[in-house]
Amino acid sequence: MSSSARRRLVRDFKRLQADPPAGVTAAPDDANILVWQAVIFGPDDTPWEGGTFRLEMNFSEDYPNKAPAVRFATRVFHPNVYNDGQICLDILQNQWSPIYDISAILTSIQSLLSDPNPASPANSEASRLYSEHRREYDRRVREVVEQSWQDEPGETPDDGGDEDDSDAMNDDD
Amino acid sequence: MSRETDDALRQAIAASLADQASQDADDDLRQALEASKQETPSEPPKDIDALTAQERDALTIDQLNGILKEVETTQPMVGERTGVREALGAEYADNPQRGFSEGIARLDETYASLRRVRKDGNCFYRAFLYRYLEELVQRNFDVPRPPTGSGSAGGGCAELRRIRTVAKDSKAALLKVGFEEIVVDSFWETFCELLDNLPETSPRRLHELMTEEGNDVTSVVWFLRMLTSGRIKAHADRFAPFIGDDFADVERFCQVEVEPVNVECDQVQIIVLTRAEIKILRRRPTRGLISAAQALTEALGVAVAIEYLDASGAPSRVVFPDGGEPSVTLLYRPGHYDILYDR
Repeated sequence: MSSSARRRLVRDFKRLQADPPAGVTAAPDDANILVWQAVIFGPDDTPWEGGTFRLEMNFSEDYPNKAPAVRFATRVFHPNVYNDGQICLDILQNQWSPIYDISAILTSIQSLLSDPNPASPANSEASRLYSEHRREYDRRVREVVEQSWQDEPGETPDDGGDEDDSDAMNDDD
Repeated sequence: MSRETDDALRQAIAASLADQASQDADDDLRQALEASKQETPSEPPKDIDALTAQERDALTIDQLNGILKEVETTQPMVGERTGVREALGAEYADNPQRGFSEGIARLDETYASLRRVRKDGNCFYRAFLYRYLEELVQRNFDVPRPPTGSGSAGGGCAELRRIRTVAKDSKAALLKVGFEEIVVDSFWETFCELLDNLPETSPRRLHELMTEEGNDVTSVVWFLRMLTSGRIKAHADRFAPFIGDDFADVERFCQVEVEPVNVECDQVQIIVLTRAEIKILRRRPTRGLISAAQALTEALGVAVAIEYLDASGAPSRVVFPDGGEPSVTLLYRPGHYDILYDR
């Protein structure tokens, strides 16, 4: 089994500690360096401001030749994020390149939050509100920001959120 | 690069754009798609409009993975040497464009043999690496071994010593154009190690290394992409005219066409999407690959000859860089590269 993935992950980790990018943190599980927990803070001066969003990153032994699987573990309401937390982002799919390290992946996701790509909708309701009813979209985003404060590790997006409108949030058909 | 080289490059681009490149690349992939579909006859494609976004993405990604999987299980990374006609004749026997068969007959007269390279989007880089290292190992074996204790450090032939210096110096060049050290390091180390070990590598061992799944060679193949990208960025003004109108600048071009691990994925995706009758713009990978050929040969100082086989019936040979003495000859057919051996 190749150890180059682990070598690179250790380098990624050292770099994150030495030169932490603004608004994101990440660390590997104690037991398994291939599994990382990350947190992205909502960018300031956007409806996402103040939100704390957890993500799970799963690396394979092929990293960095293959992209990690990354998903939000906190519920988000976003045009490019599926209800199960999976993210529709080109660099995690067909545009993956080993030039992206963990910092770069997380900062890309962070900028995706405030700058959605309407061309690849993953959540049709979020996508529609974003382009047609921006005020309502912003309100829904601020809701998930508030929910993110109660979010505890161990929950998944689908069993999180016991707000009144959680049904509407789940409904993407 | 000299004016002549620019002209040669321009001619090559014009020629490749004029041929049926994309059309035939599509055919290749369509065949692969058909084959993968026959293996998994599960569900007929539903009306694309009836699918949710996630279902649609999942369908695309499933088909994509199916094709890549099929390519992985049926095509060795690099095949054995066979005659040109033997390798390609059957594939083009029924092609209504007779020029392909005529071209194959001509190549068969000129070249002793051909090695097929897996169609996974890395064929250009893998074909180049294989043939270059094969030649190096062979040449190195022909050099008389220095008597032990003669103090000849490193060993190997002159070309091996040269390329090891190029490899060592490449890191600084990559950092200079903005690659992060953390990204460069592991790939660069792997490349240097591979070259350092060549004096003790037999031709047989090299073939094993180059054809085993999931070893460090994958990283070296990608490092060639990084060297290519680095060269293009370092000479942005020179390469900018060749990257086409689809990209804002060479940075973007490299990000989309050179640096991703498997650029032809896009090609496959285009097929999948066009089958679902979603109209999207056709990309022009040929142009990018020609720029890549020029950049990579410049970065390593290794000349490459490329034979272009198309429907014209008369394959044309272009050498990168212009006027170089090629140690590697590749066959380009629309959308794909294989390795050619001189008679």
